[in-house]
Amino acid sequence: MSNGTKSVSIAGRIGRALLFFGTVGIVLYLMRPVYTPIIISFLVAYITAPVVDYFESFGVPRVLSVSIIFIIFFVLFTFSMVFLVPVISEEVQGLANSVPQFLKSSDMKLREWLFRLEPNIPGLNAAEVANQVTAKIRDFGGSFLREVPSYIRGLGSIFVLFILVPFITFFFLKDGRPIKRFFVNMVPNRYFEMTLMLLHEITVNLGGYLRGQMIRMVVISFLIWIGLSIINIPYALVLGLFCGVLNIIPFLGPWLGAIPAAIIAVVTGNSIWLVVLVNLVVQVLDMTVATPVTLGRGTQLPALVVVLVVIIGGHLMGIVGMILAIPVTSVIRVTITVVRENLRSYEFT
Amino acid sequence: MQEILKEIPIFSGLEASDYNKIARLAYKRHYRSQEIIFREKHPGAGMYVIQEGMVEIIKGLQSGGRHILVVLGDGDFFGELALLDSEPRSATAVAARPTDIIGIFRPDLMDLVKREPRLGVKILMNMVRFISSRLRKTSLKLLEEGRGLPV
Repeated sequence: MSNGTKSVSIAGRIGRALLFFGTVGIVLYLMRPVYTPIIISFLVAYITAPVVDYFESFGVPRVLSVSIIFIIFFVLFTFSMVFLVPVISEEVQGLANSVPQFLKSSDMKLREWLFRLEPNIPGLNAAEVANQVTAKIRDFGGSFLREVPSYIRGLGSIFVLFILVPFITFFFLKDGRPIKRFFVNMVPNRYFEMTLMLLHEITVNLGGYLRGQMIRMVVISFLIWIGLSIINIPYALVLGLFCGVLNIIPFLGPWLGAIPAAIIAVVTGNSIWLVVLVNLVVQVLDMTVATPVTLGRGTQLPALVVVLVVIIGGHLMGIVGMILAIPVTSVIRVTITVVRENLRSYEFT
Repeated sequence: MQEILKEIPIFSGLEASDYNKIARLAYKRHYRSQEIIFREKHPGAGMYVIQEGMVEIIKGLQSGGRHILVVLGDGDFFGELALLDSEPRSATAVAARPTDIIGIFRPDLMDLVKREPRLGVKILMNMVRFISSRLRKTSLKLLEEGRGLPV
């Protein structure tokens, strides 16, 4: 092939590549409004696919297996709306109304302790420390109460969450394999085997991690709720849910989750040590039973990485960023590890 | 595709509906002449069945040359042990001319085994029989050459 012909060939390839990526870019830009429901649907389908497979293993056709899952979701949703949501709403409203009183009472208790400690600790300025701590708690609580509702509103309208997401999830669950095959079939022969194995390993690792975290959240929320109810801490259900969600953050999450319960215990005259005990028992059960069973040990992030990503997440998106930082980092970490190992096995590095 | 699958020992003796299920797992790929299907020492991902065309199984030599172990044609299959594990491929497979190939890969097969245990047991038993038959032939051959231990 002459140099002139080669140049035309290369120019043609570059032109076609630019046209392809340009078209893809425009389509992706125009599809912006549907990203959120698609991502939510994908995650729900990803997490629940093994349950559908389980029903299918008993000879139940896939469409029926998916329908059974939806019926279970509907029953759980109805149960939540009838029994749980009113209780949670009442507790949240009660908590919100009580926050000014709690802050005032906790401020008084804190000043009482600090002034008692002041003579024994040189350099301790009890009033200044009390002002700073109270201001931090007020800021944390205020930003939480502002950011979480706006983030939930940002997920989409009722139509998106209750119509579009179930609709897309149904088809992801029913046709997930053919959809995956469609995209994998487009991969050139040279990368075909590697792509197949890569997708499989990412699915296994990430699916296990996401499901494990969901189960952990539910178990911890339930145990904290039961524990706080036994020691008569008010708003135990909301506090349990709060702890369950924050437990996604390793090392820091359990203690951040325990702070509201501790404050409420102090201002309502209950024992803070019982709250600490309940949290300790739940954390021990989590470390020794729940986490090894649901997550295994391979997905744990180093402590320094946890602290850094939580700080970055908090800086970028506040409370929600802190909570999402760990799952997002774990997803990225698992993907990079799997990709690197496969590239090495197939001698692309 | 069902007719091709019936000729493969691993998928023999199944019901018509079972062949449909396996056919839905398979990928049809087209390889140009001299295009590599898989390389020696790469992790094994699955087996291939030649629908139409010709494939050379080639072993690399330490001297840098290559030795053609076998040439396969329509209906032949290769790489079947990769359905069991990801051990490195023992040779390279190259399309000797434009070839249409059906590929069945381990993750998809194991997924089918989990979803359809009855079918999974049949396939796994076929694989066990196929591998034990190969082992017996290899042992006999080694005995005849005076290299094996009497059983």
